[in-house]
Amino acid sequence: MNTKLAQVYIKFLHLTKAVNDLPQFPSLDPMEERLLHYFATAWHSGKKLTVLETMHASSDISPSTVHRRLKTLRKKGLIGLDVDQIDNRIKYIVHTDLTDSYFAYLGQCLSNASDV
Amino acid sequence: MLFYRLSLWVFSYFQYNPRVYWIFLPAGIRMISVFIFGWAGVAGLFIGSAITNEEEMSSYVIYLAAISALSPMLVKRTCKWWFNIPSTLQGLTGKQLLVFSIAGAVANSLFSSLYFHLTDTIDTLKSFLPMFVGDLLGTVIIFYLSKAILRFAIAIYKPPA
Repeated sequence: MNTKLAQVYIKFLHLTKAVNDLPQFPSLDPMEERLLHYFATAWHSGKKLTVLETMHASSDISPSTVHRRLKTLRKKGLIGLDVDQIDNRIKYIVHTDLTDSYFAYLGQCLSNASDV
Repeated sequence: MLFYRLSLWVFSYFQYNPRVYWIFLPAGIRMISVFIFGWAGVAGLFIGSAITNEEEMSSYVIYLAAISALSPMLVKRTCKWWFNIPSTLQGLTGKQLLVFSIAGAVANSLFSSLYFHLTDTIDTLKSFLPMFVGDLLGTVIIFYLSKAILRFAIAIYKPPA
C-alpha cells in the first residue's frame, strides 16, 4: 500500500470527523443546560412557566443568577418570552424553533449512541 | 478554477474591490487543501492563485499567489503545534477547526494587506477588514456546507444492521 496516499486518506477521515464535530448550537454553560432541561420537562407536561416562578424555582440558585441566565438563553435564541394577555407584567417562558432543534439533536445523539 | 470562478460570480454582490470580497469561498478550499495535501496542496494553491489572477503574470501576481498559498500552511503548522495535533490530524475537533478558520483569515488578510501597502496598490486599512471577513465567512461556509453534505449522505446511506 502506498503510505503517502494512505496518509492523505487518514487525514481526510480525521478532517471529516472534525467537520462533523463543528458546533451547531450556541454553547451552553452547565447552569443554562440545567435551566433548559427544567423548561423542557415543564413544557412537555403542558405547564406554563413564568419568569418570576422560574427565578424562585430552585433553592440552591439565587434568583438574580437565574435571571441572568434567562437573559443569555434569550440572547442565544433558545427561549422566548410571551407577555400575558391580561397582565402584561407576567411573562411566560416559551420554546423557540432553535430549542426544538436542540432537543431533536440531543434525541438523535442518544439514538445514535444506542445503535453503537 | 471552475469553483473559483463560480463562487466569485455567485457572490459578486459582495465584491468590495477587484481583489476583495465580503464572502470569499475559495478561502475554505485553501484550508482544506493544506490540511489534507500539505505541501502538495500549497503548490496547487500557488499555481491556482497565479492562474486565476486576472492580471498579466508578473512578480506582483507571483508574490500574491505565494501569500495566498503559504499563509494557510503557516497557520496549519502554528495551530498544530499550539493544539499539539499530530500530522494525521487525529483528535482535531470542530472548535479547533473554527480557530484554524479565524487564524487563517487573519494571516491571509494581514500578509496581503501588508503587501498591498508595500506596493501601494490598495488602501491597506480599508482592505484588511473586508478581506478578513470574506476569508472567515468563506471558510466557515465551506466547513458548514461540508457538514450538511456529510449529514445528508449519512442519512441517505445507512449501513444494514
